[in-house]
Amino acid sequence: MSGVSLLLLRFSGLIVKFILDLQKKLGLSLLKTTAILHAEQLTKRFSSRRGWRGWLRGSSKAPLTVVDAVDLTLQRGEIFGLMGLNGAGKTTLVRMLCGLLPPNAGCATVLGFDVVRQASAVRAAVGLLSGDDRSFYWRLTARQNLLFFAELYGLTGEAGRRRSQELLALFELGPVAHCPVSQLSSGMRQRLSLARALLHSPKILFLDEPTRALDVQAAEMIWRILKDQLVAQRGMTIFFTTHQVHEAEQMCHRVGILHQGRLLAAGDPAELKGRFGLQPRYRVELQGLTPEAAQELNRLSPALVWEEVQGTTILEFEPQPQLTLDELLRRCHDLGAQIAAVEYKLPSMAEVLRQVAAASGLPASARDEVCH
Amino acid sequence: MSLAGNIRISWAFLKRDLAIELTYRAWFLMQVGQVLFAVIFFAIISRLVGEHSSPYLQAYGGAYLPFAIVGIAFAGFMNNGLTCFGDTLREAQLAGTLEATLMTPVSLPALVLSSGLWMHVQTTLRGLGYLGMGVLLGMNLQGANLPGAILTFILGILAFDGLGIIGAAVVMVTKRGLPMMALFSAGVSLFSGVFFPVNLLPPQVQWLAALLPSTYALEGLRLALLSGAGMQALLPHLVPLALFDLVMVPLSLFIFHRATKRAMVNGSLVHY
Repeated sequence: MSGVSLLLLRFSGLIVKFILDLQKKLGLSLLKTTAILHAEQLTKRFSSRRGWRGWLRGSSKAPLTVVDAVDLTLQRGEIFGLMGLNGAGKTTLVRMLCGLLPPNAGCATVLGFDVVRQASAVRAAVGLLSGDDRSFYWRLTARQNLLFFAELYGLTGEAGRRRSQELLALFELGPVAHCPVSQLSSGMRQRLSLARALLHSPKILFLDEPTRALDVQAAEMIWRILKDQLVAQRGMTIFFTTHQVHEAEQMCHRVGILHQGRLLAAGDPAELKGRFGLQPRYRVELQGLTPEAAQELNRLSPALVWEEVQGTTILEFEPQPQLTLDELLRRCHDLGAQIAAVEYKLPSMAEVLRQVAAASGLPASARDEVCH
Repeated sequence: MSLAGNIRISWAFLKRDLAIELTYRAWFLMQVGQVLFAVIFFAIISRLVGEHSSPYLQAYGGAYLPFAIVGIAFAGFMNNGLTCFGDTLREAQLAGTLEATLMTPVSLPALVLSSGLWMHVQTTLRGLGYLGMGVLLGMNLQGANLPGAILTFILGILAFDGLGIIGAAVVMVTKRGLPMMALFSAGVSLFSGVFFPVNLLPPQVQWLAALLPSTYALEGLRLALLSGAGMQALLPHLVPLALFDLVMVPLSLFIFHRATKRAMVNGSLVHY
């Protein structure tokens, strides 16, 4: 390539870099994206409280970084689950993406609206179920509450009544629609919160621990409605936070792990498991295994995980090229052990969390925190 | 949001607050009782003072009861203006409904102003109740300059609503109301002529009355309602009120905007 061409290439690269930097500073999205949500280096810091002594001395504490340079993209129709401990920054991240809390650094767009410069447009376009079930007028009925919020969304008169009725029926709140919210159970209030978040048919729904106050049946109902009707039929995108590992595993297209404000990993559950080399395992229950036989088995595969429970030996075994399940079972039989049960176990998200925490350089105590 | 949109939002808040008040069944009875007892009290005081016995009341028709009724009716609006916006904001923070409402297309200023509307309606109904009771007890409003009274009333309310919006800004930042509001309200009642003409105050403190917008509002209202004073006679009271409003209303909205921005940035908007 000639010197002039190289020079032009370099110059155009500098121009592109300048435009991208300007885009970040102005919070604009100059590049078209098909993503429904796009966040880059999103950061939130809160100033630390000083006590009276600190205030009198004039000393100041360093601000607390609650969300630390999070990059995230969501596509239309995706269910994204964000996992993390209490205090990880999940709620703060959700509130920034909903336009309720401006970030200190970084930028994000939701449905094409910038969360800082067009915060009111973001708030009007998304639905939010916050963790607070006090967010209703307790002396008004469930129907009156929905009608009020419907009016604020611009659904007046018959349109508001029809939409409220539809949502009350969808979430099986029809029989209690005339009851004051103070008389509803926490599960009913949670369903009512979800109904309110859906009044204006948002394209993206933010759910902060949506099944927290719900029993198993109610939680299943909620997820059935969300997945089958809203996501599958209407292409809604869902971003939810949870502590429940099984919920993230079963419901999400992708999972993110947030710890101390940092997004440690994000991907679909199977991909995350593969990324950390997690394979399916077998759980083998043996009876009558002698200590000598146990030593022999250990020599075969030092990676076996052993557990003794009331005279039954339980092995966790990951198949390897040098030792398959068939070979292990044949060996156990040859050594005189009785095979009581064999169970196929898929790796769990809890194991992924443990691996992610280890890979991120977190000390053992912090890793345990993330994984439990 | 358009004007029609804001009217729609205000109407939604009014309906909500009326529905909530209707769940407090004793509320209506308490409101009626409050008006009744206050008017009876001042009617008895008026009999004690006697009609046309005080030169200080000659400008207002000579009787004490009409003078006092206008005072206590307007005092209700003063107190309401000072406290309603801060109180409704704090209530929304405590009840947890503020965040849910902010997720709708309603802006925070529209939310706070609309939330205070019902209390203004209540105060207006109470004010009309005072005037109605006063008429039943002999108060003569036949020669009243109603347009002048309404103009004075609106300018007076704007002044105290402006102060109330600043109170709401304080609630947003400090999470508590201004504790001195109660003291301020009592001071205003004392020095601006709610219960007695300001000329009765010691000369050393009469200058305080000249600093308070309520002094001009009360004087204007009494002259318009009780003496039928025309617009020319009301001008010396309307001009200071209008000047106060011209400064206070934009200032209060600016302070509210800054407080909102600060609370949003530090994430404490919905905290209490």
